[in-house]
Amino acid sequence: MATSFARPKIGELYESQKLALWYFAVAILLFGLQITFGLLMAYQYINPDFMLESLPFMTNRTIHVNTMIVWLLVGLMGGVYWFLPLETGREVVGIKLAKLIWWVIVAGVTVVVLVYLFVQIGPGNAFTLWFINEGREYVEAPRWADLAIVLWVAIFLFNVIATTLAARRVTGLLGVLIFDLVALGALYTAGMHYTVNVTMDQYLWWWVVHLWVEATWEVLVGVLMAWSLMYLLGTPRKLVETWLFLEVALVFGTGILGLGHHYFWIGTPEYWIGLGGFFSALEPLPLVAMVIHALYDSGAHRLQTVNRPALFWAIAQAFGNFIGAGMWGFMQTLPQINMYSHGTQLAAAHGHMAFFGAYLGTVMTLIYIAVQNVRRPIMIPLDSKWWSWAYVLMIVSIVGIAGSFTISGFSQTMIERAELGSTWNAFIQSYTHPWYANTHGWRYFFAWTFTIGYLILVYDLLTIGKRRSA
Amino acid sequence: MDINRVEVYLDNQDEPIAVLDQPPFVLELDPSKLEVGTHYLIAVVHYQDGSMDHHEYVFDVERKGAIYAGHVSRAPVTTPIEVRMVDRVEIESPVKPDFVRYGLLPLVLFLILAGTAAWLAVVGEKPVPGGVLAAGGKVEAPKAPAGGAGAAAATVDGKALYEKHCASCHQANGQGMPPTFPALAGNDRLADAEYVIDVVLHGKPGTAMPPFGNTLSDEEAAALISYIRTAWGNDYGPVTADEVARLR
Repeated sequence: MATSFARPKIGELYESQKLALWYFAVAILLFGLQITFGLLMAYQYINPDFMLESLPFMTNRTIHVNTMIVWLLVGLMGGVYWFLPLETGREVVGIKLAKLIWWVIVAGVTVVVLVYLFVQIGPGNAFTLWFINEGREYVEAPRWADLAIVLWVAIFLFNVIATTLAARRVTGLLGVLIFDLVALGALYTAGMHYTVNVTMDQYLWWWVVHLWVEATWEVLVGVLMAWSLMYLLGTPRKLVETWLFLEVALVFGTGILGLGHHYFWIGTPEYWIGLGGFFSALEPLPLVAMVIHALYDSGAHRLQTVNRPALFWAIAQAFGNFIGAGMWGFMQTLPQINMYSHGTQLAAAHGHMAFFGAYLGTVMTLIYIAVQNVRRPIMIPLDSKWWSWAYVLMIVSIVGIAGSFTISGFSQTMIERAELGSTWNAFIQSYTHPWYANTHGWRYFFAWTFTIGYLILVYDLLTIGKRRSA
Repeated sequence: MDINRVEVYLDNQDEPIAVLDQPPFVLELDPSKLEVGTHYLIAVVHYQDGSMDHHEYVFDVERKGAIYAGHVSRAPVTTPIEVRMVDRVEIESPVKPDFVRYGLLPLVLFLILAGTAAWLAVVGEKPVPGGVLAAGGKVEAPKAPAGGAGAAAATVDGKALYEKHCASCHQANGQGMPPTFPALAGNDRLADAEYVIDVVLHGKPGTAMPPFGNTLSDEEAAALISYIRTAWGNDYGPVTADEVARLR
């Protein structure tokens, strides 16, 4: 019998799910922007003079990192807007407000990117802080945009809480989600204070960079993956909730004090070396739990699913999270090693692998689930020949990018820091060493293959599930 | 291919538990009416042209107290119908959210977290006794070095400029660190004044040598280049600010 047949239309989308589609569309668009600037930077490593005057490396990096944070956050929030009405069985409360703030955010992000591109920097005064660039690495957004982001998350939190209360029922997943979003919104404010004391400034800045990304995002991802697995494999709620509670306990139990691994050398008291070293060494534990969970579920269902690309991205998510965040993080988290490795390209290797694994994998899972439900008739299982090309190309490329950063980071750590003692000569020796210099070319190559993977992904998202009538 | 009707059989019973004859082909199952354990569901699809096809579902039903949970645990690969389990966990025993716990507590926690960050930022501003901020909490701008920009026109110290801008690479003794940073002492290429001025002003693309055109005034560049061309036994003679200005 033919494998394709007409499937009836089952129900319309909730308004909240329609909004989620906008979230996903903008996320994919910003993802493209992020890749463009990553590609540009990879070339600037080879030819540092390229666009040096008009678009220097540091500006590119700001845009590369900022667009990444925004599109991943947008993708994750889109996932919540997608699943929330399904979980509560009703339309999201305050959906008009949610739509309004969404378009404010889209306009705001556009303005911020344009200012980054064409204004770039300003004098060291309050005007720059408010309207051009706040200056803290990774969270450079000017203060007006920061306030908009906090307002955005606050409205989002209101949507979730009000919908839960209106639906008159709360599940374990919703409970975890609500309290995680509280931390997500409140911790972001920590990156907005200006103090003349650099240690204090950095101390609070890490609340955003570490606690945000390594604690609240991980938990948000846990909730979203729980919903995704229930959808993809029909995993019982009791099972995913039990795993989620375990993961949340481990993430917060290790991650909050694991914050100490950023407090080793910034002028904070010495006890952080012990605290940070111990707790951050335990941080991979919840990630191991997530791998076991994903493998167990997928194995128990023999990879039989309603949506193949989503399931494969979910599996990539579990492994990527463990390898990128867990292993590559652990590689340099012990103070004895971090003493020599902090601030080298090992950090970039860890960052690329971890964000790709933990968050990109999740957002891709969510987007493929949404795409499946948009196409009529709904295709079960959702499949195409293109998604696997994008999947393999992007994974191979990110391994290549992170691998080249690992080798150059090792050269920096070993030659510049450990052997030659951070002198000017040591700097030159490590930067001219083949293990450093040659990696630029590899990275540039993998940046291109990643770009091709992205283009295939976009093509696949636009076409998958659109079948000719049999 | 158009579907005529779908007959759904449960656990190999002879009679179908449902016959779906028009879209949407959605089957709602209530696990509380089923035995605890594993069940089989077979959907027999009749197509318009008389052909048939069947799909098998396996699912589990479990019971805890009065609460039932049922889940389609192994979905078939190609299915024309959607099986929805009525989730008795939430229907029979809805947990009503408590407004204080899920409404007010999050708000209070939000304010505590954001407030702690704000408070720490304020504490960070406070002068530490004996610290750099002790004098009224203000950081003094570093004093301009004696003989700064104002005195430049008269006597610019080429040696000081060399030590500030050049010595880190070319070394204080002019020996450099070949091959990356060439020695300046005894370097014949310094004989060509225009070449030297050009390299200092515009840098040397493709190498580590940066341009100093925006950093140095004509007088400073002239003093610096004169120093390079006459120090460490070099004898190539000084250059003037006018020569520098011409090549800018």
